[in-house]
Amino acid sequence: MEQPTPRDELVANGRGLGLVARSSPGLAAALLACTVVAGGAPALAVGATGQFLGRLPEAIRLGSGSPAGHQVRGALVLIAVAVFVSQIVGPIQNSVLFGLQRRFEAYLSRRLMAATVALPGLAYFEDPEFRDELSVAHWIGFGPVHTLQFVTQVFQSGSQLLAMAAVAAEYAGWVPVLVLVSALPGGIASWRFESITGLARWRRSEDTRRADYYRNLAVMREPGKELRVFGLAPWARARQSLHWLAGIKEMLALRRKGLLAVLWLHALAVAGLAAAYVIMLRSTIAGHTSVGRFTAASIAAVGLSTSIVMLFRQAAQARRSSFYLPSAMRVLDLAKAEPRLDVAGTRPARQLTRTGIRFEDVTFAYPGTRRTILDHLDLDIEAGTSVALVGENGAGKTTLVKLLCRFYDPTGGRITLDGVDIRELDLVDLRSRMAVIFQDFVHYQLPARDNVGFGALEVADQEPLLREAAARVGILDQLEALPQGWDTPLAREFGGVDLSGGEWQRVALARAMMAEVGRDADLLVLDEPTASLDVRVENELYGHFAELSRGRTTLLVSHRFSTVRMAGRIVLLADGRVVEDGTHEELVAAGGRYAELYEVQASHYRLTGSLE
Amino acid sequence: MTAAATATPPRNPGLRATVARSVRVYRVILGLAFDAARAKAVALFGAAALFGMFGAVTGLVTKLVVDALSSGHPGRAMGVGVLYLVLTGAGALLDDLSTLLQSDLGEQTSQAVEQKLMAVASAAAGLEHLERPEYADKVKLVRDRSFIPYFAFTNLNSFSSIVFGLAAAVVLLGFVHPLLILLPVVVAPGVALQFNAYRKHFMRHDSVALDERLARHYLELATEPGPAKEIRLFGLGPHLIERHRVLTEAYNGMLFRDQLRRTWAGITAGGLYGAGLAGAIGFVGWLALDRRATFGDVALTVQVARMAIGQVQSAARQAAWLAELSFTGERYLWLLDYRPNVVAKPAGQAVPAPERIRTGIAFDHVSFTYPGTDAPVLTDVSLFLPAGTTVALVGENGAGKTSLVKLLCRFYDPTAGRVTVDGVDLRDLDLDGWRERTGAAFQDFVHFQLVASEAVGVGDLPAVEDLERVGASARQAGADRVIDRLPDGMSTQLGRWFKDGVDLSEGEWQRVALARGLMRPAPALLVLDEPTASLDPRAEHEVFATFAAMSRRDGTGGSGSGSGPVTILVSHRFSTVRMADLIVVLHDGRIEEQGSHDELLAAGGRYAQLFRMQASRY
Repeated sequence: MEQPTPRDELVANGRGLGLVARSSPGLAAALLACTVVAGGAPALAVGATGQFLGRLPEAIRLGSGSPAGHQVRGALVLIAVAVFVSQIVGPIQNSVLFGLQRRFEAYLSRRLMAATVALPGLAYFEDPEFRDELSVAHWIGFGPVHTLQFVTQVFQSGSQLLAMAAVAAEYAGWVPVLVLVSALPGGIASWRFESITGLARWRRSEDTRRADYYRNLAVMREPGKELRVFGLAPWARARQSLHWLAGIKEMLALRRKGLLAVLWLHALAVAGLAAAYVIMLRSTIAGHTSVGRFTAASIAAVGLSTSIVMLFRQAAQARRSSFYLPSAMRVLDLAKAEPRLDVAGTRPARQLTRTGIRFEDVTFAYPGTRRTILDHLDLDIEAGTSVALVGENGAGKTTLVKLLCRFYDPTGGRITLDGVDIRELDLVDLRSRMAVIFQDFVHYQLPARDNVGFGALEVADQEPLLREAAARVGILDQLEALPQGWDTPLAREFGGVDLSGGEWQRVALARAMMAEVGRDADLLVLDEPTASLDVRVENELYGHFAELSRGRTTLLVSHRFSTVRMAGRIVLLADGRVVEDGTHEELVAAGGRYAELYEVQASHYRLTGSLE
Repeated sequence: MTAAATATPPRNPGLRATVARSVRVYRVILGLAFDAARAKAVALFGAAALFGMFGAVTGLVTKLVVDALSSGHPGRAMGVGVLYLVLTGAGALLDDLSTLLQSDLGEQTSQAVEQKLMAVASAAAGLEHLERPEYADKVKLVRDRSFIPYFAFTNLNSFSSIVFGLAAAVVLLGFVHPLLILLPVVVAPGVALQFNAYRKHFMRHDSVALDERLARHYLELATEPGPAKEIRLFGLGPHLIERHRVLTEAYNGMLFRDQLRRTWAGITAGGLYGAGLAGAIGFVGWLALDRRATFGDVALTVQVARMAIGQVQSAARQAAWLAELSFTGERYLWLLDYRPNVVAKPAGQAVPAPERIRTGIAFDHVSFTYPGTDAPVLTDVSLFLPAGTTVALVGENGAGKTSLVKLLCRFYDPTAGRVTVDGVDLRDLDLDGWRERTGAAFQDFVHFQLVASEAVGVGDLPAVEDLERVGASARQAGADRVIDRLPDGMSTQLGRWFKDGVDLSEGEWQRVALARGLMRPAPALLVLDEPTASLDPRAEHEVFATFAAMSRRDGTGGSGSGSGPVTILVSHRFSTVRMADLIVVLHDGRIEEQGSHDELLAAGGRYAQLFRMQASRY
């Protein structure tokens, strides 16, 4: 990732604050109000204290009834008011900030979700740059709220600073000027120092992520088995440590170098302050200035000098929490800027006369790669028929499914549904016609109801439909026997139960069935639907297949020839083309590649000689 | 439930027990900070005490200057004034240096936590802890708050600052007027109020942890590459966003309302502090007007009283932080105290793992129930796996095949009965040594985001850089073709998590996992738990031809006649299963039948039935 320019940062910060305001306008306004009120209070306290100390010696000399005595009493009242206001507004401000942080974090999550799901295709997910930005965007948490918080702090420190300058100026105008001018370089150096080290922290993300990865290997459940069998724990710890060090080295060096510069400039600030102090003290000793005035002005001058450094440090912290913002903003803008898939098509897909699917001279390579996956492929699937795709790993079967779902558009050629290029069809409408189980289907850590119902959201509350979908793939009884029935989360972490691989697969199949029964999806796509099923279940499914696919156009991808034979027609893919096409019997008779692959598997079953 | 349950404190422990435990929590997490960088920590601790007194000392010096001026001692005034400046300069310098040390220490401490977490989680020999959701919860929590020990350290420093600062302030104020000593006492109720409010806040926070995790799941579903296909196809995006909104608004609203209710405590406390401060300044001002105090006393009070109130307030915040620290610290301690139920015998007491298996592995009336569950997954299993044979485990989903494998690798210990290797109980065997003799490829294998040679080589770490052996394993598993296609061959970063990573298809990943499982040079046990589900038929055939050859490599082959590795094969594919020397059919956690393919077929039991079912479709 590139380092954002100051302009990018500024723009992103502006937008970040805008998001904060939008996430919770009421709380954002309340925070600003607290800031203004609480911001004035410390300034008032400083001013009143200056007045109090300045007039007190005279009041002591002339008695409490004198004008100076009145002023001292007035100042005391003001001090009390200021102290009470800041003590009371402080807790309110904290509560508001807490609410705002939490709401903003949730709001930003939703905006990121919206921005990501708005991307119609999958091309972005292949793009490492995008994935980096997305993960960076996740880190920002409530960064912009921190920025806002620091901005309010800067405001409060700033107003206090002005009050101190005013009190010091009571002695002479040059005092605050001298103190400010000598402290300014140190302040700026502090700001740069904090910013640079903050930036270094942000830039080490690749090494940090690797360190996190090795850490997770050791502490997470999934790698637990291999970690133990292969004895990888000490290795993972060593690697984690290595990457952590690599990540932090640059920052440590920067920090030491930066600090040296800061030290010198802070010495300059102290020198300026010392000069002002000594001059004031001498003039007091000489009797040109009253002790009260000196005391008030000197305390203010010291406060001024340290406050400037504080102010710049706070400003730097505000900046540090915003380094991630440009990344988040780019993610939020993605769908708007460049969806990488043309979604202009508006033709309704549902009213077409059902003729079938055609791949016409389709060529495809994944974005950013050169390897051609599909190479001038032609395939015609008549409506209402079922076709099985077979082929070795990497032949392009799953890619073909992805193109049909329009996650990508072909690099060359076109795909038509019922005679219309799918790019011309309304995308939502097209996808609503499809019932699909993917090879890497999702394990939703949600109730069984959602895991099946997500196949057709709009009717997911209709239990008879859920039951029918589950019954079709033979998982109904298991689901209804769960401790809380359909409402049982399918994850132990959420107080539910964990399913086995085969059970998950049938739940995913039921989801695809839900699209069939719930939204009358007529294009059924099954990508390796039986990989984790045991023989009996696969056999049951085989028995149901005719019913599942009746009246649907079905595309079946599988390595298992026992599964493949569920389809009437078999298409063999190799090197991105259709090389054989026909019924099982035809292909076996032709004695080509299919026959050879089939033989490899079937021989295990036939060689027994003891089958009836 | 298990020994781990006893590590959780009882619901209503006595005060003494609570205090003792809090002290332990605090000591343990502080220990992390001090161990991470002892010299820096000690230096910072010393600096904190100095800082604490800094305010009081400058207040005193201010008073001395003012009094010298008022009483007409110009020489003394100038001298003390210079001292004041020197102190100010030294304070600034010390501040800069501590900032640097603090940043370093913060990072080193977080890293120490990470390392400790890794050590704790991976030290347990079994898997039970990792498969318990509570464990995962606590690991995540501690991981996300790895800064806590550093905060504990700054907390400790703040307390030392506060103690020294308040002591100095009280002494100085006492000299001005004895009544002022009471200032910290007057505002003390505020401390109690604030502390209580904070504590409740953190407790409430814990109660929404589950909802927060669910919200996180919605976020991941919508934004991660894995689920992207289904989310788009089924059009789930807007629905997930809406659920996220409803969920987060509910719990955030609840937390916020709670927080608002507690604001009153803060305001009341603030009022007390304000009254204390204004009262002290007013009181001394009045004394001065009455000539019972000098102007210097007033100047001192203005500075020192404000500082003292600040210290008291800070004490409330820090004490509340203690609640947050103990919240995380408790979980950290829970992890440290967790007693895994699989305990490896110390190397001295354990029987060394055999170089090669002489007779075989036996299950002797083994029953097994997963900790925290009621239903047994294995019931009274007795089984002999002869050395030098390939044994296939067959059964329907949930029959207990994978659990049996987990016992063999000693991820769990049997609930009853025992597993023996050449007659030695697996529990008495040197576990590290046993695992060094184990090669494995699991159904849920790891997609290691490493360079290709490492993703294979970590199967036998000592040989991870031995490209020849890595290459040989890759060839045996057919992963060489996968690797040859990669842009940088063996040095290609795999997976899409890191820069320039190349993602593999599921079948390709599986070959890499298989190659890894074959890395052990002389395995005594080779476990293949459904390793070919994503492979095409040709690939599967090749892989099993390789394994068949391998399991006979060291032994004399045939059915249990020699010494050599035991190969365990779990598969649904009978084409694979029938190659095994011994086939074990599991049903509902019991052994239903066992024998060779031909024997079982002839017996006409479940195996024959299932085999015919699959065969009928070829």
